[in-house]
Amino acid sequence: MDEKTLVEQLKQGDENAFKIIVTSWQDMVYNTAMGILQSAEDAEDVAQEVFVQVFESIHTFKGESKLSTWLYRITTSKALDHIRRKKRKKRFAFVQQLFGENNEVIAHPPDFQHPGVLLDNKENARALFKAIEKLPENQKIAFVLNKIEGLNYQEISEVMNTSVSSVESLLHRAKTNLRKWLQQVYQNPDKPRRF
Amino acid sequence: MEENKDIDKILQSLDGIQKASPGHFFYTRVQARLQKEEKSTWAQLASFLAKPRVALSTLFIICLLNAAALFYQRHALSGLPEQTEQGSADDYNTTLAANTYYDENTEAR
Repeated sequence: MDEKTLVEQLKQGDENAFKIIVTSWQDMVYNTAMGILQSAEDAEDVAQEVFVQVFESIHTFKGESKLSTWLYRITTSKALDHIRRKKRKKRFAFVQQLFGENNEVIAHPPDFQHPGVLLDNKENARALFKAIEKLPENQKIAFVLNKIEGLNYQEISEVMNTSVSSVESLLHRAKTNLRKWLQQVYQNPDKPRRF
Repeated sequence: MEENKDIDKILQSLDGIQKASPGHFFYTRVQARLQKEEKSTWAQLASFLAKPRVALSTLFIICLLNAAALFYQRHALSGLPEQTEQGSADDYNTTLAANTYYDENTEAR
């Protein structure tokens, strides 16, 4: 069944069409969310949210872009919202802790390990993910789509609604930032660093 | 030199990465989430309507609409010619006459 037919059927409320869409694109959505969020639980949560939104707002999809492009857009924006929500919660918990209202210790998650990384690269990938976490939002999205999802510049520009040259620039800046941060870690491995 | 090599290695560590996939029965979990969201939408609507501010505003709007309807109805009635007593009597007589005519015809049969 082609994409257009699937979308039309889902617009008419066909549950089978929805099932086909979920099973066909679940890995793509989950993998993208995991690259941005660096947590299996959060990625699962966001992936579910993405498909709920697809079901609820399929009538707004006009078919001007590919379904996968639309899914990438929803996933990246939901993942960024999730990070912002988490940061807000963390700040709030920290303030509560300062005023002694909440004695819970703020949990710092352990370093993220992507399940798809080759065994030889595991240690290096751990350091890279730590650095990716600190990238500005747009650079992070472009880098994850390129390196983890394997999208080319043209595809990334369609997802991010920007020009190919902007994507090139974003990726160049992302790599420069990552290199800078990794150099700092390399020179002072014990000292925690920020950009 | 060594440092640059190591950093290059780190930057290339995502080459050949495999896609992560959610656990089994992901579609079932999405369905459960959808049902939960639907329920919570109704619950949200109910709690929104139950807010005193919303409830009072709705009541005020209903009263306002009623008052407006009453006002316009009175205004429309005042524009009609008043029905006189003679008019009513004429109407009555006409009806009576028609009834009588009907009765007479029935008796003739």
